[in-house]
Amino acid sequence: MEKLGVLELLDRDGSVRQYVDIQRWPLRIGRDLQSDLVLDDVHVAPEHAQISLLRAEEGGGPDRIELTVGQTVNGVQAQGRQLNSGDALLLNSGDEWQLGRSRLRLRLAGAELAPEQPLQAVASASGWMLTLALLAALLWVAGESYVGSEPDGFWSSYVKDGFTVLVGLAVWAALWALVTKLFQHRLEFWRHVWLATVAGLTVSVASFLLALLAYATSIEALGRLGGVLSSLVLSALIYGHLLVVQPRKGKTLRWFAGGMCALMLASSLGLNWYRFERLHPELYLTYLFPPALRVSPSASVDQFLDDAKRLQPALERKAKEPVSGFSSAAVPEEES
Amino acid sequence: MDRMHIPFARGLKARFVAVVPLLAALWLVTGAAIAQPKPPLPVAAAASAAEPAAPVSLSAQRLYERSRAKLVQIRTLLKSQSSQASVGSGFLVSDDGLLMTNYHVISQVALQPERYRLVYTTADGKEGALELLAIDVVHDLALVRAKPTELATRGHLNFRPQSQPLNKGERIYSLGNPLDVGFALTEGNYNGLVERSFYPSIFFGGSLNPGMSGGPTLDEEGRVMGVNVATRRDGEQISFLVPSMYAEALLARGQKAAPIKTALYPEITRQLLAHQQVLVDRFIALPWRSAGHPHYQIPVPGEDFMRCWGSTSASETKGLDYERSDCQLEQTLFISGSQFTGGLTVRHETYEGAKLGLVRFTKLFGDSFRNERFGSGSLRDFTPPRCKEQFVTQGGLPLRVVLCMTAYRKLPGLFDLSVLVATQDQARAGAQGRLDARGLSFANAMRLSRHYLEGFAWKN
Repeated sequence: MEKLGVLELLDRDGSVRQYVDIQRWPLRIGRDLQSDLVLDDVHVAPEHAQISLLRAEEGGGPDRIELTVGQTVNGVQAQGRQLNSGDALLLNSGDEWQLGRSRLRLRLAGAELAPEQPLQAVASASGWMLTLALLAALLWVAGESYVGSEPDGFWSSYVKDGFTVLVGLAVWAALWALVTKLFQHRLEFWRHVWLATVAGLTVSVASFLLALLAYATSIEALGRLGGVLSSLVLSALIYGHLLVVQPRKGKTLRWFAGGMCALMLASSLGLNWYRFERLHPELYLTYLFPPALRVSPSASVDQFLDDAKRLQPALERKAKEPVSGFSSAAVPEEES
Repeated sequence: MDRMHIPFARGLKARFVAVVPLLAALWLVTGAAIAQPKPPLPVAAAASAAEPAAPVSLSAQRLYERSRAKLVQIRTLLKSQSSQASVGSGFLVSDDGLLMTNYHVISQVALQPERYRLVYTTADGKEGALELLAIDVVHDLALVRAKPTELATRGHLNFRPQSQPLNKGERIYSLGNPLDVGFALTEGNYNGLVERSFYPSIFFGGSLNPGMSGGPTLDEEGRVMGVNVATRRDGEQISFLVPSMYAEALLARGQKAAPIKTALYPEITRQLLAHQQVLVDRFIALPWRSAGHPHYQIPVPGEDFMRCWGSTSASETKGLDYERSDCQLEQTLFISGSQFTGGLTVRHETYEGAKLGLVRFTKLFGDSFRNERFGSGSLRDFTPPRCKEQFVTQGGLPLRVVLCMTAYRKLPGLFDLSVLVATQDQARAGAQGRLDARGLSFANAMRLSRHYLEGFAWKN
């Protein structure tokens, strides 16, 4: 007998849990054992829906497939609409709809198929890049350990720091891998390691370069971008992890990551404003580099103090402003 | 109630506190909430040992008997509920009910007259209301008045004439009502003036306790030679008195004044502006001392009224050779329980990192530059700090300079200043300096900054 199509019952992650070959129309769907597709779902009616063929009239175009909703409380959710008993909907191959808690998809014989997707071969294709990224991270940690250690204390410091970073990275990636396993039935551990490593390196290197640039050029704003940069990269990182977990929800995840980024920025900037009445926590550029790296010119004491005189009107204006509600919080006695 | 706590410790870096002798806490001796009352002194025994040869010498007992009628406890009450917000002492200086006390005893009334009022209690239990007539914030004195009829028959305490200076070691007697326990007399010695103090301050070798603030200290003849004001918490029996000449001056200036009904911020501002002018003029007139560095000229203030402490490389400096000097003007002025002003500190650190190498030195030098905080006190009293920072070349020496200031909200025209300097000429050695001054006019902040920055130079 000719196979007219396939009706698939989908799992949460989009994989096919069960399917029936369609060999004749109409096709009945429901909890009733006489149905062509029996759904063991308490939110599904015995005769929940039926798919039938509408033969084209003479010269009236191709045949059409129609979904009709039977006697049901919950109806059918399809194409963003709620269909109730008696409603009908035309279906195309590949359409998905939901009955109760069950998600169904129809594939028709002769419909054009999407091209074959290559395997997501992280471990092999970007294996080199992952190795490089991990080496770069370890090198960066070595640098940090070196500058932070006493002259003969590098190795003990490095072993400790390197171990901490590696364990932190592994735990972070493992947690994401577990989440991925839940949704995708595979771990993707190394992909998560790769994402976290790249994000960590980006933040470290970019913050360093910003501080260096701010010192060299004496442009204070550059030195204050570090916090914003961290929020951006962290949002991007979480977006990346989530995309591995739910690859088909790209659009939703972009909105989510964007929202999270906006929230992080608003809260950190807001907190700075609350505590210091300015958007950045540092009052001045706090990084010093070897003097040879400075390119901005230096002023004379006269020029400097002439510029400093501009503080007076700003301070006097501020002093006259009424103390706003949140300003009454004491300035934290920060001791860095 | 924390008003008697530690004016000196505020606004200073926590790491200063670790340098023990530098930052001994000074307590104003007033207040209701008290930590640890000290055991009473053996007053009678000590008195009997004092100068048996002096023919007219009064025993402490007779001195107290003669003075107690002229002594009062001064309490600040919340108008709404009549419970006491702070307590101090005071004494009669005229026959018509004028009393002298400390400014910090009555500061709540001076700043918030709508919320607080003053009352006195005499040793024999009489009570009455007080009016505030005049204050001297710089010397921490205030003149108040009872209704003339109420204290009229008691007479008053006389001041010891300025022409008769005391000798070191003479017995003096401090009166007041410590900790609201009861009227008391404590005995001690006159130890001259506090060394390197900006204004004269009497070093009293005796105990003062919170609550005795504003009480008189008498000589053997029962004449007022000073007014109780503060004590050092890190020592034993190291207390301070305001010389009586300032009380006499305030009495002369304020006895005809009308009672004060509104908050005194404008008057306090005026007095503080006058004070900072004198301070900055005298400070700038002092030549800088040498820091003894082979390559840098670094400004170190003279010790005329500053106290300096030095320290050198400690084991935790990670191979960095390091020297440090901290100089401090110990003249902190009380404005309110939450606000102090008037300090001046100059500090520098020199670093030599040849043993460390370029990278590690850069890191440690930078960490030290970062480890600074600005702004002191509540945003209710101060604006957030604003800074100007730039590379500055002075005397052939390139410097990174950060100048930060905050403005006083309630004392318009006064500012706190901090100037942070790091040398920027060498990759493996350097110096950092910091000047902090509180309660300056903007013009004087600029003068002082210039004076400080011009103290730096490269030595050939």
